[in-house]
Amino acid sequence: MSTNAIDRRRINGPQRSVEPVYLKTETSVSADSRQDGRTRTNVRPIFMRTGPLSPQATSAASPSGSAYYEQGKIRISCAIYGPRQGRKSNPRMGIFDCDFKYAPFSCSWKRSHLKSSDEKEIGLMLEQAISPAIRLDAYPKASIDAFVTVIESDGKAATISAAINCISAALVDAGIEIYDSVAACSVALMGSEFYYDCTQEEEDSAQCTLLMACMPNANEITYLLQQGKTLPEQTEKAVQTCSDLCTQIYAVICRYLQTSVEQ
Amino acid sequence: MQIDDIPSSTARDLASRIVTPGTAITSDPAYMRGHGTFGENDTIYSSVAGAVERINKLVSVRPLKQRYSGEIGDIVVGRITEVGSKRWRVDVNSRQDGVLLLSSINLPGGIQRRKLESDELQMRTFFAEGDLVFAEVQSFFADGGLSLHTRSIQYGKLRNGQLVTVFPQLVPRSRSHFHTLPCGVDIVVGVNGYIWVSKHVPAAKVEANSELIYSDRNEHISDSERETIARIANCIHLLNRLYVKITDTSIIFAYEASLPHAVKDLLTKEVATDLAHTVKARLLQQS
Repeated sequence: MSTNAIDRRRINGPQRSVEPVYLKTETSVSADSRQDGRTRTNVRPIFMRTGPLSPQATSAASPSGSAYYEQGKIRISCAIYGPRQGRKSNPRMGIFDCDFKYAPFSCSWKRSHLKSSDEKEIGLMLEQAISPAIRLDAYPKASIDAFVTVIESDGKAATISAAINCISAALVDAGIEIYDSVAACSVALMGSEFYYDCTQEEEDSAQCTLLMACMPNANEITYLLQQGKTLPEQTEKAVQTCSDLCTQIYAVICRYLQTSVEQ
Repeated sequence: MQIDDIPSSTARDLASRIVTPGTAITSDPAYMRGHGTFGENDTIYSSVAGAVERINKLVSVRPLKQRYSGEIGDIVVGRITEVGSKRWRVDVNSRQDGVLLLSSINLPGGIQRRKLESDELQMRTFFAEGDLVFAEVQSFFADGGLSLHTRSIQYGKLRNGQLVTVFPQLVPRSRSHFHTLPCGVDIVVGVNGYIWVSKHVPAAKVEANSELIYSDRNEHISDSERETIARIANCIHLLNRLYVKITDTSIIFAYEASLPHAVKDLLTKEVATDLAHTVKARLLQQS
């Protein structure tokens, strides 16, 4: 796709880059410790900030809420506009729209600056995962727009779940009424064991990935996506571990939000 | 995440707590739920992040940032976004656009008559897209949209100045929202967080020539007047950053404290922190 649509006004870098050859290191995913030194059940450390894109003075052009989220190598920023009068509007309840974009330099290959079909699909997934949490009935005729930009990605399922966490933090920053914050996480099946929060390399060698978003306090799952084959019992177990994991991530998000409001 | 594991928490426990969305505030059926909360199974949960407030039996959560929600009689500053048939759409920093009906404006010259089809055809000569209006909230529509009116000599189109946008919760509702500051600047403090800072024009002049209310031309503004307008605008930006209530007194305090500094330096870090201390101290002293 990117080869067909070259934008001559941009500096077009090379389509592919070659990584320097490093000395061989031990790469065994099957051992208990993973490549980045984590154990099987460890989640990469989370860093987040709310309000990086909202300047002090508010104006129509600046977002009403924003958040920046890091989880290992994943870096995501999200801006929320609204509730504002939208182009398409529903007289009964508000509309939540999500625009998802990978930056051209966010993956190991160069992405197009144009929106690709998988970005549209992920945008829809995010809408489905987040909108049950928003009190849309409190915002008739209004629209709430989220713009998510992936600055660096590492693992598709992990990136999407990080985007969900980022959006829910940004929604809180915007002061939009929600039932509960949505927390998301991903696991991948390798061999007979589930590995938590997998990187791109690990996801590539996995038989199955499972992504889950839920509202831990309300005890409701808002989104569940499985790619690959598993036994029914394994899925059941994965959903259980995911929900525990979401509760942990939720606690991290809530603790950050609480301290940020207190300041 | 339940704040109170004991259902009947004492009233003192409730207030001045910081909560995140989805936190159970209380499950005592005696309380009523207010803004920023929702109820489920007799329990009140917060739906925004902020401080819990309690007034008698009403529990509400006040968020740090919120959009403007109008009340009848509010003085607002808005920007025309669309000219429709018999109505203008006005951005008032709210959840949805406000509406200014053709029937609720004053005709130039103060003529009292019904609006005709010819008035409908020349609506752009009154207000065009991008114009700023100074208006009052007249009523609500069924869906919560605001209906505005400009039926007073002081309302109408804004000119000769600049717009400053602040957090709407910093602007308290007061008796007067139009002030002439001693430094020769007029300010219109919209409750919706839009503030218009402009050159002082005597009211008698406008009344004498009421054709002027829909004029698009600025009057001559001298360099010193421009500087004063810019200084007041920067002072309001500063108050917004400090999260201080924005009233005519707080603006005057900030203006007086800012006089030793150049206008362009007002928002630099050193000067801003210096001014912040002075303004906060004076406000405390006054109260």
